[in-house]
Amino acid sequence: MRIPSRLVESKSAAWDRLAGPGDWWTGEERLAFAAEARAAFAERHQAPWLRTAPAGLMSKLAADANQIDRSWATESISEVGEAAYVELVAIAASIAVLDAFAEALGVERTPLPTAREGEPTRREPEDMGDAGAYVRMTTPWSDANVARALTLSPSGNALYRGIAMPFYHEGQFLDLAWDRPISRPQAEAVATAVSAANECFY
Amino acid sequence: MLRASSDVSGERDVPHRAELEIFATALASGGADLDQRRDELRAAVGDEVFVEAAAVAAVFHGYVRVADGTGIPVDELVVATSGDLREELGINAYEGRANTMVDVAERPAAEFNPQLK
Repeated sequence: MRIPSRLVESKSAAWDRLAGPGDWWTGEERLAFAAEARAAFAERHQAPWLRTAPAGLMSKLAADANQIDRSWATESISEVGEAAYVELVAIAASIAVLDAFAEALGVERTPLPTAREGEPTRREPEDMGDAGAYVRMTTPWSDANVARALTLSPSGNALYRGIAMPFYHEGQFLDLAWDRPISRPQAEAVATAVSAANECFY
Repeated sequence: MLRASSDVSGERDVPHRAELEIFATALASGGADLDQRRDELRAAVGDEVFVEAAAVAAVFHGYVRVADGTGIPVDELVVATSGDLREELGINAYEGRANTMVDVAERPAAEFNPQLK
């Protein structure tokens, strides 16, 4: 079966972004977190006591995100830092998309890339504010909250949105009719089924 | 994620909706029948639509983690237009409800998106 070039290219771009330094973590650290997320994601359907992946922050994000509450998030943020935590959410979410895509197609997962050297920027954007979430994000905002959720980490936001746009709406989020092989209602039926199975309130 | 846009398109009969939902659920729930569901969906919609459906199913594995990991509240549009639907579907029992004020007054979806008028 033929995979559209936009999906192939977005995966390559994600691997390239992941391998380099981010805002708070080096490329080597980002790949170590990605490997942890990948192991946990692969075991997400197993009971926690049967899993072999180490329990921890990345495992929670990758395998049990629907169990996260403010208390857990606050504790995790106090351990790694708020923006660094957001970068990890982006890594876990990105790995989840690409590995779920491989599972969906019934093909092998692509091995993680090799880390590139370099230092994290260690900078936060200036327009961050409280939107009622666990972390600060861009304010003011007129789009869906999920589109600004990762803005505290520009590199994490670029990593995730570089995948999410081509995999989902290709810039047609507000259009109710898509000029694509899959119709908008068909896409939303799929999205609803996945969201319900993951017990995601948002 | 609560999908407001899934029921506002005006298209009530979604082609191959059952096969799409069964496949997506098998992927997201770890169904042992994923291979079978994949074959059924491919046979029903063809490879081109199947790959697009797989991409959407995959990306929502990411969106739910972004939403739950950051604790974003549900957008005002969805809160104001979903009304009793959340209760009916059991969605209010999800852990993430705590992040959203759900007592917002109901308003028509067209107030938020002119395309819905």
